[in-house]
Amino acid sequence: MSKLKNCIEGLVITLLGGFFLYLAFSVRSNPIPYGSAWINTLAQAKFLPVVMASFVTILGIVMIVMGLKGKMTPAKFDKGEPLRLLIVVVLVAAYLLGINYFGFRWPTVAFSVISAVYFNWKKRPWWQMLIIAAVYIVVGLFALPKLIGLRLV
Amino acid sequence: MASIVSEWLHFGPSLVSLVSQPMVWVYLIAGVLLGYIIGVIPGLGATMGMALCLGIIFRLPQAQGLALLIGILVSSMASGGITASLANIPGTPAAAATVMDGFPMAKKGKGREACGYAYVSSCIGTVTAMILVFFIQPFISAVALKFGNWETFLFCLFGVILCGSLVGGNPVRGWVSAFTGMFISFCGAEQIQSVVRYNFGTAKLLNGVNSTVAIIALFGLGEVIMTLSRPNDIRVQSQSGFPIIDLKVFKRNIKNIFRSMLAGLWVGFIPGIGESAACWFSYEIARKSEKNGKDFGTGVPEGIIAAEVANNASSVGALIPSMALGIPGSGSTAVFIAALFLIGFHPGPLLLTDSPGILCSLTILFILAAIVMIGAGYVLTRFAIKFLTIDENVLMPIIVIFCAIGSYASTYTRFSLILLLVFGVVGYLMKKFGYPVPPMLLGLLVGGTMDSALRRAVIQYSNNPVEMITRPFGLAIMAFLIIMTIFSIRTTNSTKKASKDVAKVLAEAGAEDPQAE
Repeated sequence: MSKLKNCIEGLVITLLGGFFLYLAFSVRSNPIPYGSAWINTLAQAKFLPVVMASFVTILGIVMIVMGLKGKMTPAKFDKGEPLRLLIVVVLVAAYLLGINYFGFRWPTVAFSVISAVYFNWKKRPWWQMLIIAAVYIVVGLFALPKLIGLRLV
Repeated sequence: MASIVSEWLHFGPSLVSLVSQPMVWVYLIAGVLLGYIIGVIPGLGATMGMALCLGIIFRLPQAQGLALLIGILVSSMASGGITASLANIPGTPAAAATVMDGFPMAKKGKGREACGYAYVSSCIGTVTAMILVFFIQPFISAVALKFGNWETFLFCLFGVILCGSLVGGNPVRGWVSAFTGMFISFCGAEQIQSVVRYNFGTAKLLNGVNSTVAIIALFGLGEVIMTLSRPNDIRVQSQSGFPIIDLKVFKRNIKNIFRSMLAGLWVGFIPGIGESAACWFSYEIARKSEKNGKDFGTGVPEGIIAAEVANNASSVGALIPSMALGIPGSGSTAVFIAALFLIGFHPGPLLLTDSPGILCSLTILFILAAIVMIGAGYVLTRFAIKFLTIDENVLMPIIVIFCAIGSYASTYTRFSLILLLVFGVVGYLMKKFGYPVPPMLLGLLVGGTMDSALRRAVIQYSNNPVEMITRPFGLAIMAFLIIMTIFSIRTTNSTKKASKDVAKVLAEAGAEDPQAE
């Protein structure tokens, strides 16, 4: 069972390589051909992408073999880490996607308040959390854009 | 020869021009202060610090942008050793070997001496290496001018393969990282016949993936997600104060300094290995060469000096291939190259021809940054403990906001925020599963050049491909790169062995493994 677990990473890389190969082969051929057949193959826009995708696929297979031999150990998550990771990723994703739809102002205010409260919950009094959120907002929405002369949307 | 000498003749005018601009000083000092804090805080580093500034520097005049970047690079490399000495954690991976003697010295109650040796050695390493590079670089650039498309392709290919194999613990993961980076760099309309490659039907990817956004995400956002999902409490085990700088010790170590500088410069010159290998390489050489070699690891200044001189010399040495060929020697120089592109320079064989005086400007700014760092480091080390104990839960969310603003500022499109998110998650996954990020970055930066160079070479020699492969210059480069590969594998093996020995010693002593950083 542990050997199978060790192979998962290699399997994911092989699948990734396969996806890359699919993308590489879907690139259309050059509109203007060059010289002989093999020169034309080397000069194709898809040539190096196919080579790189093939390398990734081969390396994925190598990783599967290494996993079966026990030479590839997967990363371990600490207790509580997956949940915290999920929350962090969701928070960051919501912030960045929020900017994409609503502009910088309100998503930054919301992100600042939520992150100041969530990451400091039970560690700091509420007024410190508010100050931290205020600092994030002032620096993010006013000081930094002013410094670089950027007009935020 | 005349063109080589003419590059050095810019020194005087460049010096006057830079020193007389107050804003250059302002940005240099700001960079040094920022870099100091970034270097002291574990987990952050020169690469991340510079990556976060990419969104700012391209809006600055060239000299000011360079001053900010170089200030961050020099001081963050120098201050990493302070954390290594005071908290037994390298502030940056490049300071890993400093832990060996810095921390035992601090435990003996000589923390202030350890900090003094660490950051002054760093500054000496920067200055001496930069002076040497100033004289070497024009010759290397003159040779690089002879490079054709085939040679450029070969150099890029070897750089990426070498980087993938030598950075990180597992070459297979390194190569996956490098080849994935190259594959991503091919996205968008290519340069020869404008064939569009896997843009997923969106016009936003026609120009490919923006490397600035990718850098900010991989080094900035990825690190933030990593840190926030696994909080670490730093235990500071000694007191900081104004550092004590004993010049007699440095005088006694002139040979050690010179040897470590050359070792660091050599490791930096080899594309992709980076500063963290340089410190171990130099530490091991010093341990074998110094009379008190058997005392290394017990808190001797020779060990700190060897490690710190080398890691700074290495970051300077990494500039050689970066400037001559546009191929970064380390993760931090990869960001440095991206920044040079942003502020209007074109690192590569034509850099010195297109931008006369750039080498002089870089040399002057590196030396000035080191001098400013000696003064600033003296004052700031008094407060090092305060920086060290900054709560990551407070610091990291604002870095997310910086990343978002930096990405947006570099492209002016909201699409960059989507890219930021995607690459941020990729950066986290890579760090978590042990995939080194620098090979991916190198692949991203040189992939397009490599593709164009190969295809141009093939088209150029379509009637006689054998002539392309047997070009004397190409053959010489192949031979040189194969020799360099063998040397660098040997160098990396010896540094890995040295760091393992150290980890073993530390494990026996019940301390933390500095490699864990």
